[in-house]
Amino acid sequence: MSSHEEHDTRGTMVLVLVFLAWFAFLWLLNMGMLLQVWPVK
Amino acid sequence: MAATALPLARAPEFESRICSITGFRVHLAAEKLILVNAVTAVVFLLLGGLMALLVALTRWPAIKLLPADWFYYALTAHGLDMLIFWIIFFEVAGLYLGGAVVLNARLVTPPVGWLAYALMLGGAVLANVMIFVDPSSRTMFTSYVPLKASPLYYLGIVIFAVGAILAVVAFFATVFVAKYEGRYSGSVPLAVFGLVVAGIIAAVTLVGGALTFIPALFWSLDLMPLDPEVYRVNFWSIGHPSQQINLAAMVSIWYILATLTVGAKPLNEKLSRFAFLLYILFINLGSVHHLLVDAGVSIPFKIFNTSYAMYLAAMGSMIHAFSIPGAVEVALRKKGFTSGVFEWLRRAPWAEPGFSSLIFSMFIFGFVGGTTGVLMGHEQINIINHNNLRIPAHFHATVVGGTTLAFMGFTYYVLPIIARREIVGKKWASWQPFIYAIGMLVMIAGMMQAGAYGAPRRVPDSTYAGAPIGVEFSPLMDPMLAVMGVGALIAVTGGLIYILIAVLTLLVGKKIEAKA
Repeated sequence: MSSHEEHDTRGTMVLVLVFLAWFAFLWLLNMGMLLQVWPVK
Repeated sequence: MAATALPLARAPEFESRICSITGFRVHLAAEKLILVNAVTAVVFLLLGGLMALLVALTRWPAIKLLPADWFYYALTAHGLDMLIFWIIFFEVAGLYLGGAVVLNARLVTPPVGWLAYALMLGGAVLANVMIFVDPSSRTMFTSYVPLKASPLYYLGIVIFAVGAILAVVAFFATVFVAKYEGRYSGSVPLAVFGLVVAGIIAAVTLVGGALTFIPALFWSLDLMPLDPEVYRVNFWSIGHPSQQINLAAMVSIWYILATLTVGAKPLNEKLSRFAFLLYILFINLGSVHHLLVDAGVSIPFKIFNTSYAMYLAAMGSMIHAFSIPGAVEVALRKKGFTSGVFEWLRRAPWAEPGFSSLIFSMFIFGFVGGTTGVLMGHEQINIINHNNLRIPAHFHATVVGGTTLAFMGFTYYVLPIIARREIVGKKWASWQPFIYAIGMLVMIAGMMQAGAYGAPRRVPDSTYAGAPIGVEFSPLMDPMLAVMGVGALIAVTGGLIYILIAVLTLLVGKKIEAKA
């Protein structure tokens, strides 16, 4: 299959966005955990 | 140097049959080796799964099944049997399948394959026996110095590794000779390319294994000193890279399952091959994230390997993880499921265990294992996670929810193609990936959250009861450990269903007639 062919991959694109949002959420959650223990008093 | 291909007519004949399902030419000597390696893998999965149950029931505060010495027996056997023996025996079966069957070629030097198998089995049995009979050998998967196991334990690991190296050599010889004999033209198919990448990573990893376990063997015989920091650095040149072999093999199996279940073709094969190359170049370097809190390793070394190298390897996984669903979507839309954004996903063949395994494997690997792995690879976050249950939660998502589930789904195709038996209990097979995936997700969620409340890993009692200095934990930790236990029970049930289906298929499955 050629890479220049047009494909309808809207569903996968939505999954990519969901994944990125999920990763951003986890990243913020972990940073929140980090801020609870930092700076070390 | 390019190999000169012989015209196929002049290539040597070999004893074979034509697979009535795939049309592949199956070398009978390869078939036996694939089967025996796959069956041995499943035996170690059974053993490792029983150990998983014992570990989970001990960590469940309301049950606390095992005393400390037997907990460390179960944990060491669980780590070795699952992370090394189940997966590598299955991968060797996969290498022979990809190198010989998929290329319609002969397995070069089957006696080397049998020697490799005998060494791997002998080493695995020796290591297991030593863990059972010798409490000092219950050093867990990492066997960090100064924990000193019996010399026979290290010898078992070394013998197993030598066998695995021979199997990898037999695979590369098979692919090379297949090209020379003109069994295929151009480049190897994408899935075989992925297996070649797995083989290259395996070769590098096994050198790391030699650097780690041969000195440890001599040290256990009191023939040389061994610095704990040097051992740790060397260990992580095999400890994590051995899981990268799984990664490349798992992604190859994803491509195969996508093709077998819905007829998907890679959207951009060159890009997928490039993503595999990123693994070879960078993924083993990313293993340095295990050394992020080690004082003896320099800061630039840590930063380069766990930032630049690890992110480039993660990019390889992202390319695969979105190009495969994209290919599945295109294939299903071609079948007429074009309505809206997700009709193709709703009406996909979910009852097909190969398809559900593929989707759950990609989801758990990417959304749970991959994201947490990248986060825990941050030096700052690594420090607050270090040695708590979030770490095993992460790698159960990658190696179990990802790799093991993909291998399980692949088995439902290997059995009819190689063992020539129809799957027994197809209804159960349809449910099995769902039960296993749900169990793993519940278990991982419990582990992850218990770890966030500070639950330590590698201890039978999470509260350190009886320790001279008391430690306070959140009261929410115990319920989370119970969630982990419930998830483990569900996952073990799913694993047992898989093993039962595989064994019954081999023993009483209806024979599939071979073409002449």
